[in-house]
Amino acid sequence: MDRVRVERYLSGRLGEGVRITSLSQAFPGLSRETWLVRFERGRAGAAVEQGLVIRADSPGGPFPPVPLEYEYRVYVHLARTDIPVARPLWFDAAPELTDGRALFVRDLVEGSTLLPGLGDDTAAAAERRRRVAIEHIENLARLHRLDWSAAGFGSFMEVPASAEDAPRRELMRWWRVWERVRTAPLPIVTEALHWFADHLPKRAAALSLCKGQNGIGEEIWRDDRLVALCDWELANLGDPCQDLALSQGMLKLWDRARLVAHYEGVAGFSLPPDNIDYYIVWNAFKSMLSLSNGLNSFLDGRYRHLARATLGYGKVKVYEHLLGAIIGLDLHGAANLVMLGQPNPYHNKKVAGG
Amino acid sequence: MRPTSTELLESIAQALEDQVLPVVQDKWGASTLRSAMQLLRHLALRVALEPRFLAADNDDVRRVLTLAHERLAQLGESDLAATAAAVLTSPPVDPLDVVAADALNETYLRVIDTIVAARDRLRPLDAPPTIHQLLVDYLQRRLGRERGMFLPVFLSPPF
Repeated sequence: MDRVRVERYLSGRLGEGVRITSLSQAFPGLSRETWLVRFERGRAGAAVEQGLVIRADSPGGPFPPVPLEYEYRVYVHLARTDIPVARPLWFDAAPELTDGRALFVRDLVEGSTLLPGLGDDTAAAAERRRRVAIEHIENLARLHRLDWSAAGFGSFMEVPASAEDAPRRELMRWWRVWERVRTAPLPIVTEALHWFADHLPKRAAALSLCKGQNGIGEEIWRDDRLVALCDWELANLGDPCQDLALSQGMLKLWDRARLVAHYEGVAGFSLPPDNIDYYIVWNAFKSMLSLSNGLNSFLDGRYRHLARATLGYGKVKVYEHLLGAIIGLDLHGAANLVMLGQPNPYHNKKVAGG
Repeated sequence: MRPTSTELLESIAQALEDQVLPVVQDKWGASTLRSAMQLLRHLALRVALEPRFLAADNDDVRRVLTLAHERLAQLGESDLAATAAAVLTSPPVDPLDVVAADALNETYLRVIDTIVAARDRLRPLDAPPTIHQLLVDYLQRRLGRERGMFLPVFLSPPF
């Protein structure tokens, strides 16, 4: 995405000339591109500085098989609530700027997706990890308490019939997606799906708006406070235990039992430990599914980006072996195995954006 | 032939890591380079192991499908039995022809997947339970057989 094209595009959309002062792509952004744009608008001398984020499908399509417009709609509905999100501005299904790839534009929120130094081996860093973990879990609890029906999420999301129905609906939905997007027959994954069916939670802890991928690397932080929740492509209505399981290492930042207890105090409902364990394992399947989907554009020649092969082929193999290893294990043993195998690649980053 | 394919591929990956990666300042470029190194290290293993893996796995899966076919026929599962029978009529391939051996392996796996997917329907019929465990045991052997081509190479950070 070059500066001249962005200027032309934004000038057209905003109805006045803009001058780009800074344009950078958020790293790594392998699934979808996230461009941070700073610009001036208005007459020289009286120009106003503004920041926007352009989120666009990559040339190879996203990893999660979810349309970008779905994520945009999540933002639009969240912006009407008190959940901290960047204000969405518009969706463009096929703009010239990205050669026809879908994009949406939202406000730029100052902050960082990374917390450099968080993994340091010091008492101060340990205390900081506790504060960050609590900040994060409180935000999740508030999200899970949201009245999603009143906020309109039922108008475009699949709505489980009940808390009892939610886990099976989630399983069957993604089982069908897997059969549509997989790049090869992987019978060990089919067997793993049977394992999930055998270990389904009896009921969801609640019926909540769940974020999907969350934690460090996803959200925007400022002074160790969470100022905006980002990346909503996997948002869904279901068991809030999903989000704790999908928090990419946040439960390891402090004592897990105390974090969950703190969450329960804020959310007002309890989280069955078995549900969390189940979704920790489930996360391995969903991650594998998304990465595998990303390989399709590599295989059909549309997008021969090397990361598509390392992730969609190599990492999928790692997940295939992980899922093969859970077969025969009980829920707790399987969750422990997955937790050991999935460190968060962001936690030990020494510098933001590095 | 020396250097072997493995030696060449490993040397290229090592040279990229030692001599090119330290001077690549751009994080996108460095990320692509790390992907290339990871894939080269995988290829260094795959070129040596893949022919033997495919030959062993095709022998194993064919034997498993033969047993599964017999059992399915006994149980009156005519559609699944016919699916297994159809793939068992495939002519053997030259084990040195990796492309053909891989294509045959995928054909076998597709049938294994179809039978695994029918687990819940077969469960009440297949007493004592035979077919499902036969297939799961094979799949675990397969994972063990291919493990060295993928682990630990693809365990390193993705970007």
